[in-house]
Amino acid sequence: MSKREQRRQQGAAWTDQTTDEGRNASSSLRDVTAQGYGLNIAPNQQRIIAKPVSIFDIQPDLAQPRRTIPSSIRTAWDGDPKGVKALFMVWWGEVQRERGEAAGKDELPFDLGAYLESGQTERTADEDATHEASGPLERSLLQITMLAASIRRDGLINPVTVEQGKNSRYRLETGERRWLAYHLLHAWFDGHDGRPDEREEWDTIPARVVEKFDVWRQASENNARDDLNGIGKARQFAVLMMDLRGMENFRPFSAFENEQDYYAQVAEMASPYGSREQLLNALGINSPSVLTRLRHFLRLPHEIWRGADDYNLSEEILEELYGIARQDVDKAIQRFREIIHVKNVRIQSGQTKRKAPPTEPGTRRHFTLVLRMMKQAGKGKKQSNQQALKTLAELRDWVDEQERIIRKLDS
Amino acid sequence: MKVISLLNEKGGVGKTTIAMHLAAGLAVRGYRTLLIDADAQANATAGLGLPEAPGFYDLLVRQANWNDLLRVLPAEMYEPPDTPAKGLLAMLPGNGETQLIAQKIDDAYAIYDRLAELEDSIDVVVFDTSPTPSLLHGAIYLATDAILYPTLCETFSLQGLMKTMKHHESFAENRKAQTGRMIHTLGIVPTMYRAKTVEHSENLNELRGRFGNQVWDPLSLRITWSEANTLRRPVFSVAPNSQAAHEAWGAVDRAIREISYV
Ligand SMILES: Nc1ncnc2c1ncn2[C@@H]1O[C@H](COP(=O)(O)OP(=O)(O)OP(=O)(O)O)[C@@H](O)[C@H]1O
Ligand SMILES: [Mg+2]
Repeated sequence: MSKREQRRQQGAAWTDQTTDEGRNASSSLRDVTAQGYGLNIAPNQQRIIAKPVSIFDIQPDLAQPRRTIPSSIRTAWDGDPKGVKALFMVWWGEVQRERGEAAGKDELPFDLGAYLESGQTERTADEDATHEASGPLERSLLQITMLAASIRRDGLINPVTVEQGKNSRYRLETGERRWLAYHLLHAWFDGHDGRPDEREEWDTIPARVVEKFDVWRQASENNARDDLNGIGKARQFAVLMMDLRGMENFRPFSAFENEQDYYAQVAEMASPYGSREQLLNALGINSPSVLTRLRHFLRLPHEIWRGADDYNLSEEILEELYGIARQDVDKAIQRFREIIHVKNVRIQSGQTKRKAPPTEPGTRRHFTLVLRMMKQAGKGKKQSNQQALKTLAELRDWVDEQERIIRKLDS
Repeated sequence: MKVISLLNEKGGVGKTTIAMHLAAGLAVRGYRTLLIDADAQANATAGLGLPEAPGFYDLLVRQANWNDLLRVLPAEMYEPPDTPAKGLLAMLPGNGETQLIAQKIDDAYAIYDRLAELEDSIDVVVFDTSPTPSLLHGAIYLATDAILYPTLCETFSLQGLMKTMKHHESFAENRKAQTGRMIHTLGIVPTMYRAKTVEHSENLNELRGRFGNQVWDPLSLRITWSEANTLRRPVFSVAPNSQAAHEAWGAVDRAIREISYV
């Protein structure tokens, strides 16, 4: 049971069983605060109760700005939910190839089964190294695997949202990652090779069925996670612009061979009068100049667009590449390949450096150590106290040093 | 672990000052204390001379690890010259980003859940809050075990106090329903008190009449507080024998007694 469910259950034990309608305590920050201050804030979105929906009846939104599946893998898949299992196999194959190319044949990717079966979601230091040594394909698969493990351990905390379509089919509005995680669990725990058969459990996912697909709601969820890269933001910007200008004025996603061209339809378009604030808000940015930047990204060469997304290149680098591309596309692509190459090399050499676990002050390990030492200290425990004092002294020196550095910055 | 929040919807009543002194005082007395700056103005962060990032936003939105966020303060910064601190004082800084937190989260129990991770390592958490109600306040209320209300003995501050107490009650209902836990009142502490003025002494009497011994001994208006503020240290560290220090300890020890009932 998740911490959250435990809390709810504890709470439920305290409340009278006679919870009359509408007095059910909400846990949405907006609702709770409005209630607490006695305000009438219209609820953000209707609280729709989630119901179980078959993962095979849900169609992903192909235009979703956040790419959970790396662009290079996604091209091998037509978007059919029945094909997700095959997609994972392709993905896993590509991860092994990526490993082989990067680090020599004897290097193995992370242990997918071990993650799923142990329900482990926190990485230990060694796995951190694995994590860092891996390329973008492995990293993104590892993320889904860890999400799947946490869902298996704690349950799904946040239901996905879907739009009702024809023939009891649904279109996925938010939650592509979670939906894929369910597919992974469904595919893995199929009773083969002595694994438990849990297929039925992962057959359906809790989903809120919304009346109408809303790109703004999708944007607010994407934005809430705070990890959209520059390309993701550019896609998000484009989708919202299309909504403002009327979706019917644009050619559909399926009409394009290259996904970038779909979004690039808005590259030269101005936002409708008075809508800029709304756009900025939905994108979570505070300066209009960022919009200009996102328009630039829409015009990057295809190869850079795709690679930048998979490798999570920073917006600064993208802007630089755009500047070069305006003069000379080939030069920009060359520069881009150099950057990717350096990134690859750095990722690998990072592994050897990590071998000796650092316990210098200022590292996470050291803080943990301090807290543990503090716990062990006590009356009459001379040695423990001595050690606690020693780590604290180290920490103090570190704090002083940080302080010196920061003061220097200001003088 | 107990969570104490300083709240009053009137500004400038001493929330930050008391939050810092309470946290430091508890650390001296032997508690493992964490001060969280939940005000976007980040006065407490600046008051202790800490850099502003990473901070509260990183905890709730970027889901950073506590270990990467907490700053343990050297005891010299807050302990009295001849009373070494027996506990420890850690801080989670605040900065301008704090204002954006509520746009990015929709779980009213986000703070509650993150604090639960500290159950074994921290004894008391102290929240310094901003005066103007915001969505973030909702999440702070729900994470709070007891509220300490600083107030001036002036009409507007008392009005602010009444409003705040009303909101306390309605948040308490939700918390009770979801977690089975209460939001206690730790006390009401009159600040910047001037005994010689009629307004102050009358208002203090009225407060006591209404809230009885929930009203703590007042902290008088004294220059020592602002001087200590400039030096970025608590009054009992700068001027251990001053009246201000004496009163500050009075409040800290009262807090310790009240905490044991929470
Ligand atoms: N007892 C006192 N005597 C003199 N000055 C005091 C006293 N208590 C606080 N002050 C001063 O009053 C000012 C306001 O106090 P403080 O910043 O703690 O209030 P606050 O409630 O946190 O304000 P805000 O609502 O803006 O966050 C500070 O400059 C502080 O040094
Ligand atoms: Mg303040």
